[in-house]
Amino acid sequence: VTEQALLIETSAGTIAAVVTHPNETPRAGVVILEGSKGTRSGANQLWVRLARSLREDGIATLRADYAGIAESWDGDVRDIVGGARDLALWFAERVGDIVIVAECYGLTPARSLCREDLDILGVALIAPPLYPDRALPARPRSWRHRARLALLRLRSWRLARRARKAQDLAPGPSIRGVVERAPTRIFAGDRDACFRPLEALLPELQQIGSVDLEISADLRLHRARTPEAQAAILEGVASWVRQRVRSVQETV
Amino acid sequence: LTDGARNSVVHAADVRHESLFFTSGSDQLYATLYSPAKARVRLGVVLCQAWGAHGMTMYGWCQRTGRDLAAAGIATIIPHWPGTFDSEGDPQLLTFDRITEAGADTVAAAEQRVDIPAWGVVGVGIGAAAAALLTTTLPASRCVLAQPALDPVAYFAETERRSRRASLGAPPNAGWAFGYPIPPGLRAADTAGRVDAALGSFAGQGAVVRYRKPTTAPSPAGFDTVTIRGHWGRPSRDDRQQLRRRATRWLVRSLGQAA
Repeated sequence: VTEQALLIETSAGTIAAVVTHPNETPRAGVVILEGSKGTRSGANQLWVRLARSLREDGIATLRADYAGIAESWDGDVRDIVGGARDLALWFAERVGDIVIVAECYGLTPARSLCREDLDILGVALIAPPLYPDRALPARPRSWRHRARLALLRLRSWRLARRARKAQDLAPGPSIRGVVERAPTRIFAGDRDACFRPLEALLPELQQIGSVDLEISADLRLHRARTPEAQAAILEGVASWVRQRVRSVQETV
Repeated sequence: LTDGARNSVVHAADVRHESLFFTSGSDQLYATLYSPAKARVRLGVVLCQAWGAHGMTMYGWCQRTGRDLAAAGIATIIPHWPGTFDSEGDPQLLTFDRITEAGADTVAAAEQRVDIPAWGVVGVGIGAAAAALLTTTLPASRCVLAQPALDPVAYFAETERRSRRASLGAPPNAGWAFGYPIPPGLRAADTAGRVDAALGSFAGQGAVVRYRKPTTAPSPAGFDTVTIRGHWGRPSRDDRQQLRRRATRWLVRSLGQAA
């Protein structure tokens, strides 16, 4: 048996997880942080297939539902990040070196993990939550942005909350925090909303850490809604993770 | 690697929650088992999930339904069908025959862990068609169909059409909908007839729990109909709590009547 179903206690409550592991001692571990609307198996078992593919290379994988969602319904949905962090710490204690694979919203818990004292070999970000300025204003950079945000706050509590959420999702701090901490590969399709903002942000990110961008032509990787997008994520992420684990361990 | 970790916990309301892998054919299938931790089990049910994107959106609903039923003394096992979610198998090769085989193995896996005096089935969406077919192989005394889609051919054709519209001009992938393959074996022309025949020959107590809108075909003969205010097609803010509660209530009442 190389897959085990687990129910793990965290600060956010009980979290349902599946660990896929090789028969021998794992060379490294991968923590998968899915998007906010997903489950731990991914669209059409995308994360299951990734975990089983990495198992062949001696790499263990942890997949879990976020607290309060799907099978982790007993967890506190307000503390998704804390639950994911505790779970990843539990896993890292057992496997040592880890690689983080974060899709879309997964960037938020990934950033939180990057603050911990962990041996992180790399971070793969898939279609991170970046939006063109017009769709979702990031940080209030000019007086116009500030005025708009102030207006939103005046309108209603709900709109104000949404605006604050938009600020929390602001790409700058999250991605910078990840890139500063570990080598990062960003996967995106040229049909993703994050594609243009990523292109604009890349030179700045490359000054603060090791980061590169892998673009899939004519595809939208967000939520992996097509077989082509699923194949691009699976092949791209699996080969990058293998390469990272191999290169770091050969150096050591 | 996973020493010291558990696969079973007891939640509030004395509901035991167990995650497990079991063997079915050549595959390892995943299932979640909810059972009363202290009280006697009055009934066991197999909760049949839907497939594809719909299965994904109703996944949390199924888990909460399992919890509610277990709190009422009804042990509930929720299998992941071959090739879906955490189970092994090829999703393209899935057929209703394979599902009924997996259903029987699911029952065996539950009986190894909990004493279950009688069985029933619950199905949601297209999972209701699987639940209906399971009644032919399981000694099921109860059958609850939540917002059922009992004609797989029509259901998958509609899902494919909606996916095409949602892709907004992207090249369509035949046989796929919302990023999930539609198993050709589930679209066989005779499936609706098999489902009708299974429901026609079902001798136990049954109910259809559904939203008032959109209007659908009448319930199978001999089945109670429980109607909920609202529209199935509209997004729900409370994870379709009413659908869950009414299905649970009907099952509990049916047990009370039998007693």
